[in-house]
Amino acid sequence: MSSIKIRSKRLDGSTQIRTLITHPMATGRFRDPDTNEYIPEHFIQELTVKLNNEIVVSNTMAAGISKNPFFSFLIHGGESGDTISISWVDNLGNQDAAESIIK
Amino acid sequence: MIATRRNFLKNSLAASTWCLTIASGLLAPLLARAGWPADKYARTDFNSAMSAILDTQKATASDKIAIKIPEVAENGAIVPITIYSDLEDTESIYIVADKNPVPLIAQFNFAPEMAKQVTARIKLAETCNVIAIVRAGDQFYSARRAVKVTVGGCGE
Repeated sequence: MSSIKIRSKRLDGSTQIRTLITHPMATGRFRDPDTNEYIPEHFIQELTVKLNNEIVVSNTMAAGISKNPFFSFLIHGGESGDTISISWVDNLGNQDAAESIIK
Repeated sequence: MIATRRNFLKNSLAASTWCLTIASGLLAPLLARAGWPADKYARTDFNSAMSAILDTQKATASDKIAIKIPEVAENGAIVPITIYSDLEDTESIYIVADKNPVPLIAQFNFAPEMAKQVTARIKLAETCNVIAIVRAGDQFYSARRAVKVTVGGCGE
Protein backbone atom coordinates (compact mmCIF):
# COMPACT_ATOMS: atom_id res chain seq x y z
CA MET A 1 0.00 0.00 0.00
CA SER A 2 1.19 3.42 -0.82
CA SER A 3 2.37 5.62 2.01
CA ILE A 4 0.66 8.63 0.46
CA LYS A 5 -3.01 9.54 0.70
CA ILE A 6 -4.28 12.31 -1.53
CA ARG A 7 -7.63 14.06 -1.24
CA SER A 8 -8.73 16.86 -3.50
CA LYS A 9 -11.74 19.10 -3.26
CA ARG A 10 -13.01 21.56 -5.85
CA LEU A 11 -13.85 24.84 -4.19
CA ASP A 12 -15.20 27.99 -5.78
CA GLY A 13 -12.64 28.66 -8.55
CA SER A 14 -9.85 26.71 -6.90
CA THR A 15 -8.89 23.21 -5.85
CA GLN A 16 -7.66 22.15 -2.45
CA ILE A 17 -5.11 19.33 -2.31
CA ARG A 18 -4.59 17.59 1.00
CA THR A 19 -2.05 14.86 1.56
CA LEU A 20 -1.22 12.61 4.46
CA ILE A 21 1.99 10.58 4.32
CA THR A 22 2.91 7.71 6.60
CA HIS A 23 6.48 8.35 7.73
CA PRO A 24 8.26 8.27 11.14
CA MET A 25 10.05 11.66 10.65
CA ALA A 26 12.54 10.68 13.38
CA THR A 27 14.69 13.55 14.66
CA GLY A 28 17.47 11.37 16.04
CA ARG A 29 16.85 12.84 19.51
CA PHE A 30 14.37 10.31 20.87
CA ARG A 31 15.42 7.10 22.60
CA ASP A 32 13.87 3.72 21.97
CA PRO A 33 12.16 2.87 25.30
CA ASP A 34 13.18 -0.82 25.07
CA THR A 35 16.85 -0.55 24.15
CA ASN A 36 17.55 3.00 25.41
CA GLU A 37 19.37 3.66 22.14
CA TYR A 38 18.77 6.79 20.09
CA ILE A 39 16.45 6.19 17.15
CA PRO A 40 18.46 7.34 14.11
CA GLU A 41 17.38 10.28 11.99
CA HIS A 42 14.83 9.27 9.38
CA PHE A 43 12.86 12.00 7.71
CA ILE A 44 11.46 13.05 4.35
CA GLN A 45 13.74 15.55 2.64
CA GLU A 46 11.89 16.42 -0.52
CA LEU A 47 8.24 16.42 -1.50
CA THR A 48 7.00 17.24 -4.99
CA VAL A 49 3.43 17.93 -6.04
CA LYS A 50 2.68 17.76 -9.74
CA LEU A 51 -0.46 18.79 -11.59
CA ASN A 52 -0.75 17.07 -14.99
CA ASN A 53 2.98 16.22 -14.82
CA GLU A 54 4.07 19.81 -14.15
CA ILE A 55 5.64 20.63 -10.81
CA VAL A 56 3.42 23.05 -8.88
CA VAL A 57 4.95 22.76 -5.42
CA SER A 58 8.41 21.49 -4.58
CA ASN A 59 9.45 21.57 -0.99
CA THR A 60 12.32 20.53 1.20
CA MET A 61 11.99 19.75 4.87
CA ALA A 62 13.78 18.24 7.83
CA ALA A 63 12.66 16.44 10.97
CA GLY A 64 10.89 19.61 12.17
CA ILE A 65 7.79 18.39 10.34
CA SER A 66 5.58 16.18 12.52
CA LYS A 67 5.39 12.41 12.29
CA ASN A 68 3.05 11.29 9.49
CA PRO A 69 3.22 14.63 7.70
CA PHE A 70 0.07 16.41 6.59
CA PHE A 71 0.07 19.19 4.01
CA SER A 72 -2.63 21.20 2.34
CA PHE A 73 -2.20 23.35 -0.76
CA LEU A 74 -4.54 25.39 -2.91
CA ILE A 75 -4.42 25.61 -6.72
CA HIS A 76 -6.02 28.48 -8.63
CA GLY A 77 -8.33 26.67 -11.04
CA GLY A 78 -7.80 22.96 -11.46
CA GLU A 79 -10.22 21.07 -13.66
CA SER A 80 -12.16 17.93 -13.02
CA GLY A 81 -10.10 15.05 -14.45
CA ASP A 82 -6.69 16.68 -13.79
CA THR A 83 -4.07 14.38 -12.32
CA ILE A 84 -2.31 15.21 -9.09
CA SER A 85 0.83 13.24 -8.35
CA ILE A 86 2.82 13.49 -5.16
CA SER A 87 6.23 11.96 -4.49
CA TRP A 88 8.75 12.05 -1.65
CA VAL A 89 12.38 11.12 -1.02
CA ASP A 90 13.79 10.64 2.48
CA ASN A 91 17.30 10.88 3.92
CA LEU A 92 17.87 7.14 3.55
CA GLY A 93 17.06 7.26 -0.17
CA ASN A 94 13.62 5.64 0.16
CA GLN A 95 10.93 7.07 -2.03
CA ASP A 96 7.29 6.73 -2.88
CA ALA A 97 4.79 8.28 -5.24
CA ALA A 98 1.02 8.31 -5.66
CA GLU A 99 -1.50 9.73 -8.08
CA SER A 100 -5.03 10.96 -7.74
CA ILE A 101 -7.55 12.41 -10.18
CA ILE A 102 -9.56 15.51 -9.30
CA LYS A 103 -13.23 14.60 -9.25
CA MET B 1 46.08 -20.43 -18.42
CA ILE B 2 45.82 -18.91 -21.87
CA ALA B 3 43.42 -16.00 -21.85
CA THR B 4 41.00 -16.80 -24.61
CA ARG B 5 38.76 -14.17 -26.09
CA ARG B 6 35.74 -15.91 -24.57
CA ASN B 7 37.21 -15.87 -21.09
CA PHE B 8 38.24 -12.26 -21.42
CA LEU B 9 34.74 -11.20 -22.43
CA LYS B 10 33.14 -13.24 -19.67
CA ASN B 11 35.37 -11.73 -17.01
CA SER B 12 35.07 -8.17 -18.19
CA LEU B 13 31.30 -8.50 -18.35
CA ALA B 14 31.17 -9.81 -14.79
CA ALA B 15 33.45 -7.01 -13.62
CA SER B 16 31.40 -4.30 -15.31
CA THR B 17 28.15 -5.64 -13.89
CA TRP B 18 29.69 -5.61 -10.46
CA CYS B 19 30.91 -2.03 -10.94
CA LEU B 20 27.46 -0.94 -12.11
CA THR B 21 25.83 -2.47 -9.06
CA ILE B 22 28.24 -0.70 -6.74
CA ALA B 23 27.91 2.58 -8.60
CA SER B 24 24.13 2.57 -8.68
CA GLY B 25 24.02 1.70 -4.99
CA LEU B 26 26.27 4.63 -4.19
CA LEU B 27 24.72 7.04 -6.63
CA ALA B 28 21.10 6.61 -5.58
CA PRO B 29 21.40 8.36 -2.20
CA LEU B 30 23.64 11.05 -3.70
CA LEU B 31 21.07 11.87 -6.35
CA ALA B 32 18.31 11.81 -3.78
CA ARG B 33 20.13 14.42 -1.74
CA ALA B 34 21.10 16.63 -4.65
CA GLY B 35 18.18 19.02 -4.19
CA TRP B 36 18.25 19.08 -0.40
CA PRO B 37 20.26 22.02 0.98
CA ALA B 38 22.06 20.46 3.94
CA ASP B 39 23.62 23.80 4.96
CA LYS B 40 20.19 25.37 5.52
CA TYR B 41 19.03 22.41 7.61
CA ALA B 42 22.12 22.35 9.85
CA ARG B 43 21.81 21.89 13.61
CA THR B 44 22.68 25.40 14.62
CA ASP B 45 21.38 28.49 16.40
CA PHE B 46 18.71 30.75 15.03
CA ASN B 47 20.96 33.53 13.73
CA SER B 48 23.20 31.31 11.63
CA ALA B 49 20.15 29.48 10.28
CA MET B 50 18.67 32.82 9.24
CA SER B 51 21.88 33.90 7.52
CA ALA B 52 21.98 30.54 5.67
CA ILE B 53 18.50 31.32 4.30
CA LEU B 54 18.83 35.04 3.70
CA ASP B 55 22.46 35.02 2.57
CA THR B 56 23.44 38.68 3.02
CA GLN B 57 19.95 40.12 2.58
CA LYS B 58 17.59 41.30 5.29
CA ALA B 59 13.99 40.20 5.76
CA THR B 60 11.52 43.09 5.94
CA ALA B 61 8.58 42.65 8.29
CA SER B 62 5.36 42.55 6.28
CA ASP B 63 1.69 42.55 7.27
CA LYS B 64 0.82 40.82 4.00
CA ILE B 65 1.94 37.51 5.48
CA ALA B 66 -0.51 35.84 7.84
CA ILE B 67 0.36 32.97 10.17
CA LYS B 68 -2.40 30.91 11.69
CA ILE B 69 -1.08 28.90 14.64
CA PRO B 70 -2.46 28.21 18.12
CA GLU B 71 -1.21 30.61 20.82
CA VAL B 72 -0.77 27.71 23.20
CA ALA B 73 0.32 24.35 21.79
CA GLU B 74 -0.26 21.57 24.28
CA ASN B 75 1.73 19.02 22.33
CA GLY B 76 4.87 20.36 20.64
CA ALA B 77 5.10 17.28 18.44
CA ILE B 78 2.05 18.27 16.40
CA VAL B 79 1.39 21.98 15.93
CA PRO B 80 -0.87 22.87 13.00
CA ILE B 81 0.23 25.93 11.08
CA THR B 82 -1.17 27.75 8.06
CA ILE B 83 0.72 30.50 6.26
CA TYR B 84 -0.81 32.84 3.67
CA SER B 85 1.12 35.32 1.60
CA ASP B 86 -0.56 38.21 -0.21
CA LEU B 87 2.73 39.46 -1.60
CA GLU B 88 2.95 39.53 -5.38
CA ASP B 89 5.48 37.17 -7.02
CA THR B 90 5.71 34.98 -3.95
CA GLU B 91 8.15 32.23 -4.91
CA SER B 92 8.86 30.42 -1.68
CA ILE B 93 7.76 30.26 1.93
CA TYR B 94 10.11 29.18 4.72
CA ILE B 95 8.95 28.11 8.18
CA VAL B 96 11.46 28.75 10.96
CA ALA B 97 11.19 28.17 14.73
CA ASP B 98 13.84 30.11 16.64
CA LYS B 99 14.34 27.60 19.50
CA ASN B 100 14.29 24.35 17.50
CA PRO B 101 17.56 22.35 17.27
CA VAL B 102 17.23 22.63 13.49
CA PRO B 103 15.62 26.06 13.16
CA LEU B 104 14.50 25.72 9.53
CA ILE B 105 11.47 23.43 9.42
CA ALA B 106 10.49 23.47 5.76
CA GLN B 107 10.73 25.40 2.54
CA PHE B 108 7.93 25.47 -0.03
CA ASN B 109 8.45 26.62 -3.62
CA PHE B 110 5.31 27.50 -5.54
CA ALA B 111 4.50 27.58 -9.25
CA PRO B 112 2.45 30.60 -10.43
CA GLU B 113 -0.82 28.63 -10.61
CA MET B 114 -0.70 27.85 -6.91
CA ALA B 115 -2.33 30.00 -4.27
CA LYS B 116 0.42 31.16 -1.94
CA GLN B 117 -0.70 29.33 1.13
CA VAL B 118 0.28 26.15 2.87
CA THR B 119 -0.92 24.14 5.84
CA ALA B 120 1.39 21.73 7.65
CA ARG B 121 1.96 20.16 11.05
CA ILE B 122 5.26 21.02 12.69
CA LYS B 123 7.29 20.16 15.79
CA LEU B 124 8.28 22.83 18.29
CA ALA B 125 10.93 22.08 20.91
CA GLU B 126 9.82 24.72 23.39
CA THR B 127 8.00 28.04 23.72
CA CYS B 128 9.33 30.09 20.83
CA ASN B 129 8.68 32.41 17.94
CA VAL B 130 7.55 30.88 14.67
CA ILE B 131 8.76 32.95 11.75
CA ALA B 132 7.44 32.78 8.21
CA ILE B 133 9.88 34.07 5.61
CA VAL B 134 8.56 34.76 2.13
CA ARG B 135 10.78 35.22 -0.87
CA ALA B 136 9.09 37.43 -3.44
CA GLY B 137 10.88 38.99 -6.40
CA ASP B 138 14.40 38.53 -4.94
CA GLN B 139 13.37 40.18 -1.66
CA PHE B 140 12.67 38.54 1.68
CA TYR B 141 9.73 39.41 3.90
CA SER B 142 8.85 37.96 7.25
CA ALA B 143 6.18 37.70 9.91
CA ARG B 144 6.36 36.11 13.34
CA ARG B 145 4.06 34.70 15.99
CA ALA B 146 4.89 33.64 19.53
CA VAL B 147 3.75 30.15 20.51
CA LYS B 148 3.63 28.76 24.04
CA VAL B 149 4.53 25.09 24.07
CA THR B 150 3.47 22.97 27.08
CA VAL B 151 5.25 19.71 26.13
CA GLY B 152 8.15 19.93 23.68
CA GLY B 153 8.18 17.83 20.55
CA CYS B 154 11.87 17.30 19.83
CA GLY B 155 12.91 14.70 22.39
CA GLU B 156 15.50 15.36 25.05
